[in-house]
Amino acid sequence: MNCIIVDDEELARAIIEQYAINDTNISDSKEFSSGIDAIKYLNTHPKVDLIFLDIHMPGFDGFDFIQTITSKAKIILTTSDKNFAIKAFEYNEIVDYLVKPITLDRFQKAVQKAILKKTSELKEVNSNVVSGTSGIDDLFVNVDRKLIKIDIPSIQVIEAKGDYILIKTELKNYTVHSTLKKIEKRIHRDYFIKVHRSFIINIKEIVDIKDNSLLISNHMVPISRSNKPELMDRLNIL
Amino acid sequence: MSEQPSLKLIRDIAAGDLEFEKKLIAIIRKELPQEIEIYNANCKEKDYLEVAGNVHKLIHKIKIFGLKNGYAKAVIFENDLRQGNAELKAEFDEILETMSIFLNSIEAP
Repeated sequence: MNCIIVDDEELARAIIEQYAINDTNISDSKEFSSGIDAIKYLNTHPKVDLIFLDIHMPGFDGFDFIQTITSKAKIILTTSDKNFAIKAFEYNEIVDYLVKPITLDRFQKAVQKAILKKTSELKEVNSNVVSGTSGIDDLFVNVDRKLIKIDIPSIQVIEAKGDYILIKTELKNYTVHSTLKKIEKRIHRDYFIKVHRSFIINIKEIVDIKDNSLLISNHMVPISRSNKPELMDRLNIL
Repeated sequence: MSEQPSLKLIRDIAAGDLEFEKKLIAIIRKELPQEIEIYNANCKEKDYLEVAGNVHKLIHKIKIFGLKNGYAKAVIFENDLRQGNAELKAEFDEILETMSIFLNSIEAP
């Protein structure tokens, strides 16, 4: 595991760093005396697995830090007073808290907890992948008397064309004798949204939106007035 | 006799690694006076919330020197400061003084 240590106190960082160097579960560790510097690092180093985070830092404290980062790293809070750690259980990323001065035994237990949590999450992801291959992410369509498998997340746009629908993926287009209503029932609501009576789009593929049309790859798709509010609701707009 | 600081916990953490033990003492020797200076400056300003943060930071070093009573007092002082009450300042200053004297008595690494 790669870890970072965020604490404005050098003494605290030195102790964790020493334990980390001697821990075979930790392959790399970096120290930061400010949360802002650590966030900058995380933005360019997404492979950090574990963060030792001091709750009590001046200006930008540990909880500000947690709310700011997008990293999926597990967090072990460090504090001089365990009362400050109670809030820790409000955050899913936090696996444990350590009260300073941190003992080696307690450090090792916390690292084990982080490994267990990471492993159990990985198992969960893998079990979803298995479900995916057995059908959840697959769509079989009848083209020229053949059932062809399409990976649902790869679909960019589905367009109604009379009695047919045109399924556009990144690599290939398929013309299928079906309706938007039928295909809508077979695809995930998380990915897709109807933006016009003749168009369903993959929301994750949108490049930009201007007035009443949007761009997906090189496809310009119209947005109807009645579908626009739902689309705007689904977007993460700053 | 009042509670006296000790290096026992530092030695436990260093687990026989003398270089690391020296490194920890050197860090404390550098950081403690800086933290006390910031604490004193904020005390002068009567910025009790800031002082509470400074006390919180100092608690780690109080604990690492094995000052159990000092730690208990510091926690109360920190909470009092958050309520705007600095009555325990003199007692806390004594803890800091004890630590500083102890640190100066240790042979420089």
